Order: sequence, then structure tokens, then C-alpha cells
Amino acid sequence: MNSATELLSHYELIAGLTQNMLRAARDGDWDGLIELEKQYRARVDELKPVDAQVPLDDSQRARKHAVIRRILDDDARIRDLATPHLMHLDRLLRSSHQRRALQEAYGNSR
Amino acid sequence: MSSSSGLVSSPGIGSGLDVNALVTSLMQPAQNKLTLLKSQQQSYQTTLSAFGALKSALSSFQSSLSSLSDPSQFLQLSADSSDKTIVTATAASGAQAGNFSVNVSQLAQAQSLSAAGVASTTSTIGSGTPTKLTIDFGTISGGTLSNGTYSGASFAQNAAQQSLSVTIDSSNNTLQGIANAINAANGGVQATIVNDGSSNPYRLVLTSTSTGQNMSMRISASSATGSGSPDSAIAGLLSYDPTGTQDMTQTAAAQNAQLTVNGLAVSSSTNTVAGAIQGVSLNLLKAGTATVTTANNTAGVTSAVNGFVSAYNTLNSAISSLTAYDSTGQNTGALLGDPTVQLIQNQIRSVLDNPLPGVGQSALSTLTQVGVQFQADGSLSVDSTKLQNAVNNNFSQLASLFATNGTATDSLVSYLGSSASTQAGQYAVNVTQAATQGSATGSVTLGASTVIGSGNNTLNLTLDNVSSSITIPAGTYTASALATAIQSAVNGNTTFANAGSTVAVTQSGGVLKFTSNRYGSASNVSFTGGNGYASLIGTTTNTTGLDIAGTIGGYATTGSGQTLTGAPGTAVAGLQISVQGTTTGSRGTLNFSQGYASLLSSQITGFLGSSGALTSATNSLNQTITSLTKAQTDWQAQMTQMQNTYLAQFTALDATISQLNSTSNYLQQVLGTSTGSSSGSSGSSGSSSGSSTKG
Repeated sequence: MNSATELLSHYELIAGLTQNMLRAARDGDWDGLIELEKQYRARVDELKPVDAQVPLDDSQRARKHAVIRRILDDDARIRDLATPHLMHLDRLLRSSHQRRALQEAYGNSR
Repeated sequence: MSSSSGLVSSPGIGSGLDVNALVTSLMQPAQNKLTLLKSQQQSYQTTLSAFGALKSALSSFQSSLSSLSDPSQFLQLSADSSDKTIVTATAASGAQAGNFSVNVSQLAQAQSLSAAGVASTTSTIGSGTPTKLTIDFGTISGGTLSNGTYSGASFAQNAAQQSLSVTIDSSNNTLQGIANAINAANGGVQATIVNDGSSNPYRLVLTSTSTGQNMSMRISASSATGSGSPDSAIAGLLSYDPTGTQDMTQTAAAQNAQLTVNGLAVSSSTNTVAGAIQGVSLNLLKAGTATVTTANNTAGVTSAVNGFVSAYNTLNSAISSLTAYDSTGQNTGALLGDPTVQLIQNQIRSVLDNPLPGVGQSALSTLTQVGVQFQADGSLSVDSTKLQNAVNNNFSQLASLFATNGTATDSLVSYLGSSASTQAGQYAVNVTQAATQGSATGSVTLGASTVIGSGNNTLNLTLDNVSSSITIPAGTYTASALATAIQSAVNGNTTFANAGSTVAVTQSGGVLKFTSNRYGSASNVSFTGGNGYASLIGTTTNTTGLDIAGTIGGYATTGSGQTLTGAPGTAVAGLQISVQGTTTGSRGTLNFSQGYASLLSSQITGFLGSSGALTSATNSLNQTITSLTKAQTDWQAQMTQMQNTYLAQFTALDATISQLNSTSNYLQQVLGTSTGSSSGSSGSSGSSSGSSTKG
């Protein structure tokens, strides 16, 4: 991706991934989200060495920034959805630990 | 970013979420299911324990029935004496109620002989020449007795009592040595040394260890080597022949107890007299007159019946508390409404409520007839007046009411026993062949008097398939006296006695007849020899006994001796009766009943048995408890699985959020550097975080 066109289409690809990630988060498909995030990260990692080398004109840069903002916007929404779920899991695990501790203390009343 | 990494290291802190609400809404259903399983298990466990309590109550009740199941508990008589210093009495089975006047004129006594005094117990007596002392036992009769010495008397040896021999030589020829040797022989003579305080004070006293007039001693000394003479000092000290030389003096004569029972004379070699009154044993203590009374053991029966009622009431209250209804639910019994308990309770009540099958028309057949009846609360009570009436008027029938028992209309037919499969009922007894005894009749006609000596005193015979040899005591006999002497020699023979065989010897016109006292095919008498065989008996006519044959209630039986046993698979299976007498054909009726105690006991055995109602109820409870235990284990495993799934998702999602942060940081940097306008970048970041707070 040495041309500006290639770079921008790569950004569009990334934006498509974050859109899919947001859908997965909304649907509670957390395993899907985790899978998509790996692809998302890999695409961004591919971008990193070339991003600054590709010359862009103003309109191309504006397009690029607009895409990045879309990506970051989706990213923020994804975290808005994931964080409460993480809390929820945390509570479940804590209550399981409590129950186990109680059983150990009083024995299994069978 | 910081809140996400905080979740990993310290979950939940500062989240602001309602932890309790989450736990309640999400984990409680899982927890509820576990609690439900546990409480179900607890409830089945309680029911199982209640069945355990019921089982033990039934077992206790059953053990209390055992004394009532045994007819001897009822038929047992009590025996009492008006003067227990003269005679005491005990009753056994076969005793009849009545009063008996017992007059004891003489107690049985053992003979005692005393030797002349010597100066020391340890000085040697004689030269130590080996000398055999032989002590025979027998009856002294005739002649006169003066100062402990007989003159003109005769001695008839007791063939049933073995003679005692000891050897005195230089190792033991002191008074103490002789006493020790006699005692060590342990042969029916007790030796003691008495000090009479005279100048030669030590006297050897020999006492027969058995009472009775046929246990007098005769002591002779002979050479222990078989040739030559015995030591004269030993012979001169201890020889004693009531018909001749008496070196010892009799200090007590052997004698039988003499008594009369209701005027009838009885003689007994011991002071324990059995058989003078049927089923009663008398223990004589001194001369005198006393009245022995045998009576039905009414106190024992009354207390047995009261014990039965109280045992039932204990069972009844145990069942009541296990099935109690309590509107508050606090004291509700664990088995309330349980069909197994209802079945058990109903069956037991039904046995007690219904007349007993198998007892005759005139007999007692219901518990109410003896004053035992149900009260409104389900317990039993005893009307003691009614019970006393039954005890007074129907004593023997009480046995059939409670115990397994048989009663026969023919006085020579008696009930011996039954099996668990014998059915209650009234059965006609029919005899097709009466049992007989084996016998042997001789061919020699004896004269008015027969002299028995060493040439004609032995007989070899087989009695009930057991062979032995007997010796007839020497003497001159009439035919009748000889029959009696031979009978006592045979019945005193240990081989025959050990086999349980006895014989009756009679004479008719001088011809001896030997009859086995056993009945049936195992009863026989035959002779094989002996030096008296040819002259006293001659050739014999032998008859082997026959077993009884017949039917009980029309059912087939097997006969052995006088005993008929019902054939397996019939209503009378295992029923055993004894039929005496020679009459064949109809022999009346046998009423066989399983009393209330027996019926209840076998019913409880049924409940508690491996295929019984209680066992199947508890087996199914145990199965349910096992499956509930498994359900809990399974559910625990599922909860653990659920937790592991949550944990994996938590870890993966937490890492994902962390990665999202790092990626978006990069993108924000790109946005910041490439625009050169940091405000635009921060504005975009601000809108992102703003949406985050809103979400």
C-alpha cells in the first residue's frame, strides 16, 4: 500500500471491522467481538510502518481523518457496551467464590 | 483505559454497580435449584429415619411376643409345699394341678464305714507288700445289725455300679497315703481321716458318694501281683464283708428315702424324687409330713397377657407419633399418610380384631373373650376381671389363644410341634397301622428258683440295633426276680443308656420276654450269646417294631415310631403328633391353631423380611436419596462449569478492551500529528469519551 488510494481503502477496511465489532457488542456476541478485534488490531499493525510515508493531498487527508474519527467513535461505543458486561462477569465470579468459601467453611450438607 | 485494567487486577472496585442486585438476579436461580434439591433430600432422609424407628418398634414388639408364642409358658404349673423344711417341689411339663400329701419317713443316706484308730497318719502300715483293695457296691439284706456290725446278712452286688480298685504298696502304705489313693481313684468312695481324740486317734472313714440301699460297700484285699497273700496289716485294717469278716465298723447304713404320696409308698435311692407325682420333682429335706400343691401359674399368665398389651401399646404410640397430624405443621409425623404404615397398622389390627382361625368351637377364639380390647384411641386395654375369669375357667385354652398349639380330642393323641407352613385348622386323625415295639421271647421254661453264678451270668444282646454284654448279679432268683434283675442290668448298661434304649423284661409261665421300650422300625431285641444264653433263654422268637401309619385331616403323613408328621406341601406340612395305644381307625380330631402371638410374630417377620413392605418402602427411598445426591453433584458441576465459562470470557474480553485502548491510542496519535491541529483531535477524543459516559 504505497499509494494514497491503497492507504485510504485500508482505512475503510478497518472502519468496516469496527462497525462489525460494534454490532457484535450490541448483540452481546462477546466471542465474536474478541475475534473481530484481533483482525482489527492486525490491520492497524499493518498500517503502522507505512502510514506516515504515504503522501496525501488535503482532500485525501481529510478523508483519512474522517475515517479515523468513525473508527474511534465506534471504538468508544464498543467500550461503553463492553465495560458493564465486564463488571457483570466480575460480580458473577465474586459470588461464585463466596459460595465456594461458604461450602468449604460449613461442608457440603448432603 | 484505567478502569478496564483496574477490573483485571481488582475487579469491581469503583464500578458503581449494584453488586447484590446482580448476584440476586443472576446467580440465585442456580442457587435456588441446589437448595431445592437439598431440601427434597432432607425430607426423604427424614422419612427414611422414620421408617427406621418403625422397624425398631416392630422388632421390639416382636421380641415381646416370644414368651407368649411358647405354650409351655402357659401350661407351666407352679408347685408349692406347706413345709419347705420337709420337702420342696418344682413342676415341669406334664404336671397336673392338685394337692398331694407327702409323708417322708426316711431320707436317703449313703453308707459310712470307719476303720480302727492308728497313732499317726504318716506312719507306715504293714510291710509294703503290694496289696489290691477292691470295693464292690451292693445291697445288704437280712441278718441283724449290732454296734455297726452285721451278722447273718447277705450281700447282692449292684451290677450297674462298677467296682473300685486301688493298690497299696511301699509308696503309700500310711493312713494318709491310703486315703489319697482312694480319693484319687474317684470311683464312688470318699475317704476322710477323722481324729477322735483317743490314744490311737486317727480313723479312716469311707463314705459312698451315692445314696441308696444298693450302694453299700464290700471291701476285700488281695495280692496286687496275682500270687501270694496281701499285706496282712492292710487287709486287717480295711477288709469289710457284711456277710463275714468286718474289720471296719458301719457308722451309717446305706438306705433309700421312704415316703408316701397320698398314702402310696415310694422308695427312692436319692432325696430328689422325680415321678412320684407326674411332672413334679420333690426334694426331700427331713422326715415329716407336708402338702405339695400344684396349680396353674395364673400370675405368670396374667402378667404375660398384660405384657403383651403394654408391648402393643408401645408399638401403637410409636406409630401414632410417626403418623401424627398437626395443623401447625410443627409436630406432624414423617409418615403421615404413608401407605406402607397404613398397611402395616391395618394388618396388625385386623389380626387382633378377628377370631383366631383353627381353634375349636368351644375354645376361646377372640381377645375380647379374655378382656383384651381396643379403646377409642387405638390402644389396647385389659379388663382384669374378664382376664381372671378366663384364667380360672379356661386356663388351658389360653395357651391356644396366644401360642401356636394343638389340642386333641383323643387322650392318647398329643400335639408335638409344627412348622411355619402348618395351617391352622381342625384335622381328623386316622390311624391305619398302630406303632408297635420290638421284642424277643425265649424258649426255656425257668423253674421255681434259678441259681445265677459265674457260669451262667452273662448275656450278649442287641437292643434297638446297639449291641453290648450284661452281667446278672449272682444269687438265687424266682422267674419274676430274674426278669427284674436282667431288666435292671440291661437298663444300667451304659452302652444302651447312651443310645437311649431301655428294655422291659417280663416272664410268663417261666418264659422270659424282652420288649424294647422304643416304638417303630428301629425297635428290636435279639440275643447273640453269653454263658447264660442257652440255659436262661434258649432260642428266641424276634419281632421287629412297626412305625405308625395314617393320615391327618386326610393328608398323607410319614410315620416314625409313634409320631406322625404331615407331608410337605399339604395344609398339615410339618405338623407332628404322637399317637399312643393300639387302636386303629378314627382317633378323633386335632385342633391346630397359631395363636395371636405366633400370627403377629410371623406377620412382623413378613414386614421386616427382604421382600417385605417395609424393606421395599425403604429401598425405594434409598434409591430416591441416591438420585437426589447425584442431581446435587451434577448441579454443582454445572455451576462450576458455568463459572469457568464466565471466567474465560472475562479474561478474554478484558484483554480485548485493553488491546482496543492501545489501538485507539495509535489512531488518535495519527489524527493529532497529521492534522497539526491538536484541538480538532482532542475535540474528537472528547466526543468519544462523552459518548462513553452517556452509554
